[in-house]
Amino acid sequence: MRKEDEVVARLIAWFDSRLGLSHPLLRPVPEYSVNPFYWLGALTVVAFVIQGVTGVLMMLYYVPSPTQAFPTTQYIFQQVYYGRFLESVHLYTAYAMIMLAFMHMMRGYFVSVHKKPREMMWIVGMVMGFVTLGFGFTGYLLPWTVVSKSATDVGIGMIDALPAQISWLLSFLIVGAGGDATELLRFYDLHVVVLPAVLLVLLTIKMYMLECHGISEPVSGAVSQEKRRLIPIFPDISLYLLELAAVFGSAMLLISVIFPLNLPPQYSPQLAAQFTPQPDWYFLWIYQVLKISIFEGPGLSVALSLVTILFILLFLLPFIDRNEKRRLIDRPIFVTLGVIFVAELIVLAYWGLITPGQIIPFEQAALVIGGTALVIALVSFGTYWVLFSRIKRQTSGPTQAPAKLVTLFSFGALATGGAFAIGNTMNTTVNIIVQGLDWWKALELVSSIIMLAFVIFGSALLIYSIELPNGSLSRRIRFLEKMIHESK
Amino acid sequence: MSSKDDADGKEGKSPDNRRNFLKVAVTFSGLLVVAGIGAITEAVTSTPPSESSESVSFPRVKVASLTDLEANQPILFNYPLDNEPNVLVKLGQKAEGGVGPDGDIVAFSALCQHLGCVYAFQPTGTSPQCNSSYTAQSPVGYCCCHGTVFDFLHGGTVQAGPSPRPVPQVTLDVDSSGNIYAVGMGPPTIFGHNTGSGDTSSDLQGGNPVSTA
Amino acid sequence: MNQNDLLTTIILIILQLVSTNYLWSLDATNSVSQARFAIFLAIDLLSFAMIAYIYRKIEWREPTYRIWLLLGSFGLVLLLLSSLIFT
Repeated sequence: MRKEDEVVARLIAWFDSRLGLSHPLLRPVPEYSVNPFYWLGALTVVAFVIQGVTGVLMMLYYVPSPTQAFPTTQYIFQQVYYGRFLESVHLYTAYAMIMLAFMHMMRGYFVSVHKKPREMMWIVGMVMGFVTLGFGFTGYLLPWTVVSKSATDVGIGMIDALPAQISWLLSFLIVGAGGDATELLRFYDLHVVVLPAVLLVLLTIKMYMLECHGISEPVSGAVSQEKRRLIPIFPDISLYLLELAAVFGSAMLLISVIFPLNLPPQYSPQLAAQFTPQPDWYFLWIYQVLKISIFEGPGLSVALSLVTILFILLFLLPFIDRNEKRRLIDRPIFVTLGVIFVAELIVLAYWGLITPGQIIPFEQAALVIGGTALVIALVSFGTYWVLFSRIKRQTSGPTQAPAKLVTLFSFGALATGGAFAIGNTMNTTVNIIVQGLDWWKALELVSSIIMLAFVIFGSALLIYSIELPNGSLSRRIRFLEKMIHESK
Repeated sequence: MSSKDDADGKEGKSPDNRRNFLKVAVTFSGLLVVAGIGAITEAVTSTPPSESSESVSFPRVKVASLTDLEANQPILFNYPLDNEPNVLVKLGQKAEGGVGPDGDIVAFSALCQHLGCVYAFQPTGTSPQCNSSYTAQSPVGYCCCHGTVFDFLHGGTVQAGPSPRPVPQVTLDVDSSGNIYAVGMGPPTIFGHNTGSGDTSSDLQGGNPVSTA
Repeated sequence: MNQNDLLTTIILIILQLVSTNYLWSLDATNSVSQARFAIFLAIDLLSFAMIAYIYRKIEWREPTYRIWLLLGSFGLVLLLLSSLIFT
């Protein structure tokens, strides 16, 4: 070794021994987990860090009082160097954080991480999900614009409509003695101090549990020895995380450039009367449910109780889904429920977006919500019956193909396409029933049904491709052909 | 820890040197990213302070005195710039944002928010000359261009017609001697001054301020 | 292919140096600077991601898949072009 190499090496060794850099803190992870699907949670934390940095920079200029909130926000937008850029990045990363948290949850759901022994991780994760939504809710009010204050007022009105004990608790925490000034100050306090602290504590707990349980086994259990090779967290996996974080960061920056934010007008009661309040996109599905006609007036408490029950069920999922099996093949009911859940969220959110302020007649709501659930249930059970029962008999424990980006994109495209196809089919059917048939509507109906057929076929193919041993698509199609031949 | 053994960036043919070079490269690359983020932190924190971050100040201009006013007789005045007409009127009934002993003196920008036509005040029960089929049910501003009706009792909100937003209300103040002053403009901005924005500081741009004499 | 990887790394570092230098030299009072800042910081980040990827693959003695490097380079070109469009 050269002289300077030795000096540098000794210097590094000194830091290493004093700071404990090579002391194993986090256990090494298997190579099959070096895959973006396993890192959705980590990316949520990355988004949180970005929020922290941009948030702190904005805190230097923002003042949380009703008279100063908008002028200081405006000041950030117009006068502070890169202020508008900070606000844009902060908003889009907030949206990304909520979306990533949701994807993390759904991925965990479909891969069955909530089963033994990771039930508590799921529950802690759900609390973190609530905290994240809380970030969105509290942060939204802070600029004190017409849009944000109206939407938050509606939200607080909803809290009052919850069952008495819950609403008292939330009012006490969030609204305080009443009045705009205390409300804003509390929201600010929550957004900037309380929720971040709570999130960090929960994150530490979850990471500790991850340390104890390790990365979950791939769903079918049989993975090559090479893929099980353990890789140290530092520096290899840390570098992978930084890689993902850097790509995510560039995406956020690019979005902020293409869609720079504009500040809506300042809140005033006159102006607010002109606007139809609408929540931010991640609450649109609740908003849509509440707009159903039977939930008007006294029915509001009922609707909110239903939503609360849904959340409680999600919370307690590990105790509801007690089947120890983890493969998609072995869980037809819960996989179907999961797909229905995601589809309903997308359908309701989009519907809420296009019908601001409009009450939804009950029959229409029942048709759309019930229809979506029914179609998916039929497709799902059909797929299970046709494909999986045969595969189950023929193969014993197929290995899971490593998740590829192609799979992720296909899933996304199918989910979106599916929601639109289903929604459009429902919509045109209702239109035809209500307004009568004509060539245009018939054409629309036929094209939606064709799109639906594509989505169904694509979903079946996708589920099929995830479950079978890694191989090319043609091999799988040949397998399917062989099956069909043998059954003849 | 990435070793910096080959800090001079030796690029040899053997795999070990290649790895070392890359270790240095990655570390250096990371530091550059940190430097980039440092650039924005430096810029944001070094924004020079402005005189005040409160909303900009509107001039205080006397418009009329209480003794000048008769019910339903509008007075036109320019505020805050000399090219921005407004209408001041005593309505005879309490109105939102109204000043004076009866709370019924209001003033609004006279420019319709739709396309900027100057509209006229219509007392209750009267019809505008351009549209005899419309009768005002309450004190309103009726725009003859496309039929927008602004409700003078409720802060200038749109009762009918194509205007997409309410007409801005002038903030008034009455002093002890009965002089009525215009002291500010509420949102939205006056038509033609960043129309549709909530930032009323735009009302102060693009013309000469009315003198406060 | 390893020669190519090293060459790519050197080019990326140079690109990063230029971008970071540009970031510090931007006139913050100019409103156009905001978009430029975002784009060049994104170029900075994306180059880092690519260098980290190359390093990780070489460290694990796996081949660097050209598709990712191509996608990354495409992303960089896209960003550079958008610096002309959005400013």
